[in-house]
Amino acid sequence: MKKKAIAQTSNLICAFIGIAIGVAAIWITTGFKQFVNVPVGPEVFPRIMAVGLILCSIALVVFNLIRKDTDPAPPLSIRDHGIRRMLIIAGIVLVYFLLLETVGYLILSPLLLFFSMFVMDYRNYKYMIIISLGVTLAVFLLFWQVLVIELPNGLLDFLF
Amino acid sequence: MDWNLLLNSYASVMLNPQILIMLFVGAVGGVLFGAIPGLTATLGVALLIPFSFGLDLVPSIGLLLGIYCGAMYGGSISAILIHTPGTPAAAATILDGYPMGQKGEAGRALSIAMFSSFCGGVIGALVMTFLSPVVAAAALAFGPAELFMLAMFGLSVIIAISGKSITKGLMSAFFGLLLCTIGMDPACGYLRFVPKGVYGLYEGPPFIPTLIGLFALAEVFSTVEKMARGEMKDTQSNAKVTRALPTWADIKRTWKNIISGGLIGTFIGAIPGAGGDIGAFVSYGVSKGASKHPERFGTGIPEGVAATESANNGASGGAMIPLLSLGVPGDSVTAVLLGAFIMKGITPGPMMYVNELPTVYSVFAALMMANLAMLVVGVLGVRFFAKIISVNKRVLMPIILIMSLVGSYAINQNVFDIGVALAFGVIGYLMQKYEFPLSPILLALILGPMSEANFRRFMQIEKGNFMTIFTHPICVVFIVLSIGSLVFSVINQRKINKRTGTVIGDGKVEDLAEAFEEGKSDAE
Repeated sequence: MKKKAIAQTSNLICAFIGIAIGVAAIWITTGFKQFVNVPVGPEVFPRIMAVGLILCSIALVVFNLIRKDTDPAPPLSIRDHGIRRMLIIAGIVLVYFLLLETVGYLILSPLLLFFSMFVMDYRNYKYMIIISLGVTLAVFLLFWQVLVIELPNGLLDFLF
Repeated sequence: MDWNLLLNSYASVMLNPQILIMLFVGAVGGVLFGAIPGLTATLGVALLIPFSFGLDLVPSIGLLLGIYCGAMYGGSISAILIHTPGTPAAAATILDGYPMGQKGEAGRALSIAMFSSFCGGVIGALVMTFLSPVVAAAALAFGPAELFMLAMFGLSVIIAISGKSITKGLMSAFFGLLLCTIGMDPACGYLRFVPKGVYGLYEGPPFIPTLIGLFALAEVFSTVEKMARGEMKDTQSNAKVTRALPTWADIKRTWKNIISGGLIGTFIGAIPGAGGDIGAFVSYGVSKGASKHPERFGTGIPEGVAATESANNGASGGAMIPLLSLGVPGDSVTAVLLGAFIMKGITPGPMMYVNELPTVYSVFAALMMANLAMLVVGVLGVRFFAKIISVNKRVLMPIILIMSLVGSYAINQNVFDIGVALAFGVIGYLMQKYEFPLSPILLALILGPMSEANFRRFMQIEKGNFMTIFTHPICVVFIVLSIGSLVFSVINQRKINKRTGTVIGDGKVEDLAEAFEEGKSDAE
C-alpha cells in the first residue's frame, strides 16, 4: 500500500523552498550596483528580508523535526482528481491570458465561462450558454459604456 | 475639531446624489459578497476598486466603504441560515445565530444581526471621528525610525492572528517584503529583480492584480479542487425570512451587548492587523462573562448575535483610525482602501489632517452614511439575499473568475497584469493549501515600500548605526508590542488548539461545528 505523504514532509519541502528563495535573492543582490555615499544601498533591505526568510525556514525545519506532524499532507499529485480539475482551470486562464490581446475579450470570455462551468461538472447547457454570453456582455457594457475602459477587441477590432 | 467643516462635510455627502448612489451600490455589493461563503469583504473591495477609477475620491471611497460595511453584515446571513460564515468576521455569529435559525427564528436573528451591525458601525464611525484627530496629532511626533517600527508592529500583529503557525506567518511576511523589493529602488532608482524587457514589473508587482490573484483566483482554484473531490458541496438555504427589523422587546434586551460590542470591536479594529473576527469573538466572550445567564449563550439567544455583529461592524470604524491618522491599515480591507487612496493621489497619515482636512471629514461622513446605506439595503433585501446564497457554486466560481481577470486587466489596461494575477493565484493557492497565511503578504506589499523608505532614511540620518533605534522611546514601545503580540499569539494559539483546533483569520475557519458544540456545551 502506497504510503501517504504527511504534513511533516510537506512542511520540510516548503521550508527548503523558502531557503532556496532566500539564497537566490541574496545571490542576485551580489550583482547589484554599489552606490557611493549611500550607507544603505539597494541590496540591503532585500538581503535582510532574505535572511529573515531563511532563518524562519530553518526554524520550520527544526520545529518539524522536533514535533513530527503526522496529519496527512494536502494532496498535490496530478493523479488526484481535484488537482487535475484545478490545473485544467488554471490552464484555461493561462490560455485566456496568452490569447486575449489577439483574439479579444468578446470571443474568449464566453468560452472561458462555458468551459469553466463544464469543467466543474455543470451540465445545464442552455443556462451555460445564457450565462456565458450574458455575463460577458454585461461586463463588456459596464466597462465600455459606464467606466469608459476599453477591453481588448482582438479579432473584432473592426467593429469598434 | 472644526465643527463647521465637519457639519459641512456631512451635508455635502448627504446631499450629493452620486455619493449616495455609490454608497447604496457598495452596500448592495458588500452584503452580497459577505453573504456568499468563500467571498470576503477584501475580495469585494479589491474587485470593485477598478469600478471606482472614474469617480472622484469621496464617491469612490463611499463605494468601497459601502462594500466594507455591507460585507460585515452580509456574513451573518449565511452564518445564520446555513451554518457557514460568509466572512471570517461572521464566524462568531454562528454560535447563537444558527441555533436561532434552528428554532425557527431565522428572521429574528437576521433582523437583530442587521440592527446590531448598524449600531456597531455607527459607534465605530463616531469613535473614529473623535479619536483619530487625537491619534493624528500624536503621530506628528513620528520620525523615520518610528514609522519603520510602526510598519513592523503592524506586520507582527497580522502575523500573530493570521493562522496556526507563527513561523509560517513570519515566512509569509518576509516573502511579501521580499516581493515588494521587486522593481525600481525608491531611493536610487536602481532596478531590482526584474528580467530585461519585463516592463510590467518596473514599479513592482502591481498591487490590485496581486491582491486579486492571492485572494480571488486562489479561492477559485481551491474551491474547484475541493468540489471535484466532493469536500465542498453547494450550500442551500430554504429558510423563510419574515421580519426586516427587530422588535422593541429585542432591542431592549440587547442594547447593552450592542454598545459593548460596538466599542470592543472599534478598539480592537484600531489595532493594525486585528479585525472584525477577533473583535467579534472577544465581544461574545465579554457579553457571556458579564451575563447573568452565561449558560444560555450558544443555545440561540439574541444577545449572542447582537454582541458579535455589533463588534464586527464596529471594527470597520476602528480599522479606519490607524489608516487615516497613521497611514497604517487596520485590517486587510483598509489595506486595500489605502491603495485606493494612494491611487487617487492622497496619502493617508497625520499630514492628511493638516493638508486634506475636508477630505478626512468627508470620509467620516461617508462611513456613517455607509452604515445607514447598509441598514436600508438590509431592510429591503434580506429576503432576496437569502435566495442569492443558493446560487450554484459551479456557476458562481466561473463568474468570479472572469470578474477577477477583467478586474486585473482594467487597472493599467495591460494584459501582463492578468499574468501577474494568475501567477499570484497559483502562489496563493499553494500557500493556502500548506497553511501559509496570505494576509501578511498583502500587508507586506502595502507596508514594505514605506518600511524600506523609512528604514533607509533612518540609516542615512544615523550614518548606518541601527542600534540607535533603541534610543527612540516610541520605537522601543513598538518593539515590545511587536514581540508581545507574537508571544501572546503563540500562547493563545496553544490554548485554542487544545480546546477546538479552530483557526481564526485569513479566511480559514475549520471545525466550526466542533467549536459550536463546544460553545453549546459551555452554555449548557
